Amino acid sequence: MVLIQPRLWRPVSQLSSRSHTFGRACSCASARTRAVSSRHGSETRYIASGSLDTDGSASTLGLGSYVALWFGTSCVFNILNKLTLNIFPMPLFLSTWQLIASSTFMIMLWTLGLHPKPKLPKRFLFHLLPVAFFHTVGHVAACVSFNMMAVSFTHVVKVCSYTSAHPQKP
Amino acid sequence: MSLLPFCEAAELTRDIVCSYSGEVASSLVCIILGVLVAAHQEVTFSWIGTGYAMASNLGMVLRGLYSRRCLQGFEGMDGINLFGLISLSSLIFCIPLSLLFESHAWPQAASAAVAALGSEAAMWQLLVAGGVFYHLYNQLSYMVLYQGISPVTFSVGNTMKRVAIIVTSVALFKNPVSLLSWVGSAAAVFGTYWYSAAAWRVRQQLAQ
Repeated sequence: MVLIQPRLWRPVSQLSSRSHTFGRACSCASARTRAVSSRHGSETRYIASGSLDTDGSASTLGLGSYVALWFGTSCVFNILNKLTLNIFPMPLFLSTWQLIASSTFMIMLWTLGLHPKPKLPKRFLFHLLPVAFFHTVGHVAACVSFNMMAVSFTHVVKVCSYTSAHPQKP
Repeated sequence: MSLLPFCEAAELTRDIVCSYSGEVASSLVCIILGVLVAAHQEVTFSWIGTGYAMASNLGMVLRGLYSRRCLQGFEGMDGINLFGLISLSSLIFCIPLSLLFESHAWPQAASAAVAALGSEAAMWQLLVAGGVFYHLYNQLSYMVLYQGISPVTFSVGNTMKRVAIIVTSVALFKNPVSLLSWVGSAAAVFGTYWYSAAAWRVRQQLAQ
């Protein structure tokens, strides 16, 4: 079974001009996922869904704007984090707080139906716990490091992990 | 918890690093020298802090290794869902850790912070903004990934993102960074790209 990266988020250019909203992208994506799963019954296959734009430049603009937003929000986050650490030097509290924030957002997305909920068989938790442990170590250690040293130097050290640490399909 | 992914990665790394590839060796030397030079010039440098940063690297790499198994064969499991589940289950480890090691200092630090900011509302605003942007930047990184770019391109983008963070933080916090420090940081970034290209080539050779 060949597993290809599911394209759950269509490029911005494929959405109608009026609704570049989060919710619209998610509901279109979830509809497509449901159609795919129902066609193949119990065996779930992830198919590279969504045809690419014939006009390459429009999807490049979409990718460019996502990348720009990604860079922008990362910079803002790091600056806010350091500002908070400067006046409230409690890195363990802050890292826990950030994880709570992320969890709250995702629970909100799942309950409002803006993103398809994952199905969790029992053995999944067994696979998830070591991942969660290493994520905790990575996140908390980074926050402690930001507290102790300048943000720029910590990032110079972090640049050295070239391996894409993003959870994604191989 | 199986040690298999860790052993496989360790073996592969050993094969790459111990291969008699001049490129791999040079790129590693470039990274190490770059970081050392940047560290030497860094006013706020501390060994413990650097140790924590390296631990963070290790943690994230191991997370990436183990998370690939989580994505195989589970219905509805994509990157951002997995990230949400990881965040939720990380709280199992994080909440006890922070309560155990830091909670004694919270009241005093909180009142000092409120005094520094002027009002409790400002403190909450700062915290909420931090949380919102933390989630947003992770969400956007998955949205970038889903545009269909390859993992290698994404890694390049990730490194460039760190460069952007370094530049903006130096610009805004105005921490003293000498020219030699910039040279060292640039060498570390360049060495990282060089190592990933060289390691890829060695991997291709080993696969034959």
